[in-house]
Amino acid sequence: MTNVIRSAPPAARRSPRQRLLARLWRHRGLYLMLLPGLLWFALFRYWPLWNAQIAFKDFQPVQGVLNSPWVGLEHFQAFFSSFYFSQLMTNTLLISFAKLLIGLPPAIILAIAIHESTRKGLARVTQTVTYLPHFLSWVIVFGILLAMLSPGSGLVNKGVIAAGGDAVSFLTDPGAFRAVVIFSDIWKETGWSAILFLAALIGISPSLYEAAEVDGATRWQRIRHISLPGMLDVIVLVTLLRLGHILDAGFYQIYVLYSLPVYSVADVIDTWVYRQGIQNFQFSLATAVGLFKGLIGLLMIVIANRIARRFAGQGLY
Amino acid sequence: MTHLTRTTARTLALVTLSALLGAHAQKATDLSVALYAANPEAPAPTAGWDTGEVIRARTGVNLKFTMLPTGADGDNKLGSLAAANDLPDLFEIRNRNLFYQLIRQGQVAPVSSLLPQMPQRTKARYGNAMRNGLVNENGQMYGLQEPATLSRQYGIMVRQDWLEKLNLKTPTTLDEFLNVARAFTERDPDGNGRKDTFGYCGVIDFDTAGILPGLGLGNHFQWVYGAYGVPGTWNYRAGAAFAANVRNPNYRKATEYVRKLVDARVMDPDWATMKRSDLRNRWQQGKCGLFFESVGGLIAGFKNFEANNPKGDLRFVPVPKGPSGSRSMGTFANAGTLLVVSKKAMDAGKGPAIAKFLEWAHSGEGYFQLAFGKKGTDYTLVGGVPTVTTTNVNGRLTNTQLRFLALNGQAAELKGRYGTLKFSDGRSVNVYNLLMDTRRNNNWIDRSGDLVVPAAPNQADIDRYVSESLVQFVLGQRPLNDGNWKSFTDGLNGLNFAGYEKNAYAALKAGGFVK
Repeated sequence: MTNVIRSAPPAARRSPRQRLLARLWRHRGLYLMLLPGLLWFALFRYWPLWNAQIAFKDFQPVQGVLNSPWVGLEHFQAFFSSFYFSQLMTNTLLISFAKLLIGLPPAIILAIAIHESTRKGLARVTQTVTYLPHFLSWVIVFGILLAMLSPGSGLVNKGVIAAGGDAVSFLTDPGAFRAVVIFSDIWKETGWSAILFLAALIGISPSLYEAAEVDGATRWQRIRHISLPGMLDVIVLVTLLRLGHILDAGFYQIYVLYSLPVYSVADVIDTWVYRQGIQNFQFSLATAVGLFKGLIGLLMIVIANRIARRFAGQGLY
Repeated sequence: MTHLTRTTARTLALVTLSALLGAHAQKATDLSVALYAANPEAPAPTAGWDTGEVIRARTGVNLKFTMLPTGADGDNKLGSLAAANDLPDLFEIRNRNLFYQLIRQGQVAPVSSLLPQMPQRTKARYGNAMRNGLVNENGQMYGLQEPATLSRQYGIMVRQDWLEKLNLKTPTTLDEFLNVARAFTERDPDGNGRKDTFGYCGVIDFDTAGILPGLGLGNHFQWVYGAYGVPGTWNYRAGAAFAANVRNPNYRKATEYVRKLVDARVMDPDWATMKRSDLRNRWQQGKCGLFFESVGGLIAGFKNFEANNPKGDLRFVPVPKGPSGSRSMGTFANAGTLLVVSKKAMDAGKGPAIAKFLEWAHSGEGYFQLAFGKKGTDYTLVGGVPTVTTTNVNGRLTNTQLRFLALNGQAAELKGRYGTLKFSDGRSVNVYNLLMDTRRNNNWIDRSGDLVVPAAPNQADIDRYVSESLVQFVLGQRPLNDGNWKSFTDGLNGLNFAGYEKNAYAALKAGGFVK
């Protein structure tokens, strides 16, 4: 008599659909946590793409998105041929690149400084103090800047006058305004940006540092040969992500800080869209400019990713 | 009748009454109303609000009130609601560009059918053909254009105590104005031993209800352009040579005068970035000798001012004359609140309810309830003049957040709103008289026609170009010479300014505002 042992059908015999469902069920907790994020993307990132077609239409709310009359590239042409187009592009790119290029190194240096600190209590306090400004609104920061930079009663100008100089109108002088925008942004965001780099540093194996120390490497050498290469992935990632938003020069900040005397150096695409598109109720125009910005951002990411892969050996994808 | 029968009869009566009340409640029409905050400093009404209950009882309207933020934020909110095709049933609109856009898009309804349904209101408020012309499009009346209730309440205020202390006369010309402003800046009028006062306080402000800022430097400097005969955007009297004032040589002279004020350092060095609230803080602190302010601003700030300047004395001065004798504080529109009905509301048959509600708000109980609050609690009538009696300022202001539907600008109303300011040293100021004085003494120029001028497709660029260039000139960032001025006016061509002027002329002519 032969004993026949019947076993359950092997997993390989399951259909792909069953396997997928089984995998989903096994990690159901993770997928449940993922759900709100996916919903957010669907609602606020993908659904608006459907409505973005109003960039090519003369949007009439009564007729809806679908039935509004088609106007092709009219709104894009209106933007490209607008009186201030070249100035808007110049200001946007200058401010945006300056924030990226000047703003990134302080965040990296701060992260390294906190990581290298031997007094952990001091490091924690420094980290907290430096990322707190991120939570201040630009309206509050404007108040602080006014108290510091006002030509009438600002702390800085009081110092300048006490030293025998003339008060500088930092917020109304076109020569000084961009510097105020860039450095106030760096002050506000450096601590926050450093968190990512700090996370990358923490991920580096301590054994590398110990081995280097045993081999007699100085602190600077450890930073140069272990910390910086260990952060490179994240530096590339952050740079690429920010390049994707290169035409976002910081609407809230500039809207709060700028005034008529500095429009020539401060007016950026987003502030123009707010005045011409939103305040004049030209929603199709505003959408067309938004699409244009998205397209440029995508292009920048693709190009920068190729460059990063070629020269740094790694990219975002 | 036995006890049982009486009980049954009572029960039946109660049931019938409940049924009737229930039927009445079912008949109540839901009406969404959005108005710009009448009292932005006070909270919006909450559910169960007294006025809402009174409205429901008297008009059968179940009011859903939205308080729009003042200024551009309110316009943007309405614009967003329009984009979502979700406009309120009845709403106030201040941005004429949005108004005409909503007409073109078919989102607002003609309102002429409502007029016979609210005869008293129509007779008192909508009988002026010229004013109704401001809301006509293709022969249809698309809005209920209220008469102006409170424009021209602005003027230039002076520290009379400083004038007396420095032995100066009230300035009547631009030159005298500059001299007084200099003295206020340089001769320590507050006697604190520090050079911390300013001759003239003004800011770049375009957002003041009731007056038309026009292109340029905004409301606080219109009086300078008025002194050169070029206040506001358009020159209505030029006939066939119609053009924007910015092309007039006197416009440059006025700009040069503002440059003089800046050069003489009689203005706060922060003036170009300051907001109206900053200016108010400055004069209340006692830093300003002359400043642009409203009667309402005076009422709101005088207590604070008095606390900081116990012997301070503020007066309005007549607007100064220019070299050729011209004078004007600025331009204004002789038109007040504009009420609009959405097409959706009209299609849903809400027209009669809207008319009934507005008619109720026009006079009698409705008028007083909306304009002054709860009788006996918020106000009482003294000789026909509503007089505020409550000390609960916020409560009264909340109760009157719908007052733009009721206010009529009549003398009794203004006397009620603008009573007497009493200073702690026994002085008192009749604010109603002040208001009348600012209207009489400042040669305000009626430019109601500006409201029919269509916005240019690139209006934001035009606004920016003119304002920015003028600011650059007056701040000295760009020397104010022949070459630069020509370059500035030539630059208007790049903005198709001539097209804007042509369209403005056509609209003004069609409306009968220019010949």
